[in-house]
Amino acid sequence: MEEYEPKIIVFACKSCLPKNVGLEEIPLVREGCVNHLNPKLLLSELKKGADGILMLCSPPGECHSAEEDGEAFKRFVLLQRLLSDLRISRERLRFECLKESESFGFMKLVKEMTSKLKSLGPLRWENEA
Amino acid sequence: MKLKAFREDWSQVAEAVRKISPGRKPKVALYMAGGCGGCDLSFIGLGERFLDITENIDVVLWPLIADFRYSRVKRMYDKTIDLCLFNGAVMNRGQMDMAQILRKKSKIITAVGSCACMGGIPGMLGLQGKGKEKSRKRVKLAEGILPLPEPCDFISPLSGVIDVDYLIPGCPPTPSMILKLFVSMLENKLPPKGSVFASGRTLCDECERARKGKSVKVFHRPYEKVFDDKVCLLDQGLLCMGPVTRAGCGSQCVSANMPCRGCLGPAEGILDMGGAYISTLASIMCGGEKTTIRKTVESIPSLGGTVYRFSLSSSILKKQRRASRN
Repeated sequence: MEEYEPKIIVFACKSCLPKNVGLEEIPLVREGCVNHLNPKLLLSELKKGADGILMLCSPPGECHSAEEDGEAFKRFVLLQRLLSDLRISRERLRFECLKESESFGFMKLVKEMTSKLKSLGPLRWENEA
Repeated sequence: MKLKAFREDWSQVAEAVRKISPGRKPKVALYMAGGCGGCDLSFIGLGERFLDITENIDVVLWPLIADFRYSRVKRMYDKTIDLCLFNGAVMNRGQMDMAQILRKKSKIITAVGSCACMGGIPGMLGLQGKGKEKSRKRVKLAEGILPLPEPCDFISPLSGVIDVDYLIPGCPPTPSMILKLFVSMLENKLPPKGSVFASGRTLCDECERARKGKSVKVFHRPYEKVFDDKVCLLDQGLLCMGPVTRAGCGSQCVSANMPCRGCLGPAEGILDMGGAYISTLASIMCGGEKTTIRKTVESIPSLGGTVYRFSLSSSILKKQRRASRN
């Protein structure tokens, strides 16, 4: 049997993404500030076939648009709640604060997320509990 | 606001309807699928104007009011019915077949009510997992055994099964919206296909309550305390769907100091009520520590059920288009 390879979508702004990492190793990246993220985009990615979503944000106080600092976490918690109400596991959505320089941390996050999603299995709307 | 002005002109409207004397009365069909019948009652709720309208139309199908035979509808020539008002979501094979037959036989088909427009309350079955409960095939009654129609795999709004010409959302739609449809039909001034008989703006645009800003720490249910009737309900911690909901109902719930339930569906430009509402909630919630934010979100009674109360079947995540049987 072929091994299941989960599809992860990363939502992050340019300043969070490490520069020296080969982006071909990462699944798919949607660039843009997570503080302004339209939840609609995230929901449609899940519908299109993503198994998990990673939201990356600068650490508190370091975001370029200082006014919006902290908005991303509110959206993340609300979306997690909405997904669990729709019987989708909360663990399919992950939020982390990351500095520009931490390319090691970024790859580690993607690996962790991949193994977590492998244990959860592909996202099927009917079976998800 | 347009609708309010419209409502004040009741007497003129009645006059207008009386003056119209079409050579042939338009044939009208009203059908109820998976709904509660509230939409049909809303039509009757027109009061005296109901008589004005029924004088000018010929009702060929209305199962709620009288005994009609479906076989008679099937035998009609195509496009015989001038206007069909279809309310309720499509939940089983029988309703799906009837929707397709009515599409063939009618010139104009209008989805009436939230269930027909968006899936409505029955669509919330999507919040339950699939296949957990077995549906019954027949039920035993004193008179004998009654076979039940085969349920569909998922609940869909009317537009998921057939082409729909007009939409009248609302749970139930206000009588004035239905009157507007009839008057425009009788006067031969129907809007372009795909029009919605309500405003395109959001309910918040028409609301006169004062805004306070980012301050909500705990969300409440409507019965938990007495709310100020001058201040925005969202700012007081009630999940009011006003920011994403279409206006046109005359803000009935909000003027009774109750939060909007979102029955008119998403306003123009909004694809998914849940997604849009999460942006709104994030902007009114009090910021701060992660634990406080988590606590605030956990105090929401049921987020999925509230934001998708009427539109789960047409939301991004649950939307499915049924393949036609033919």
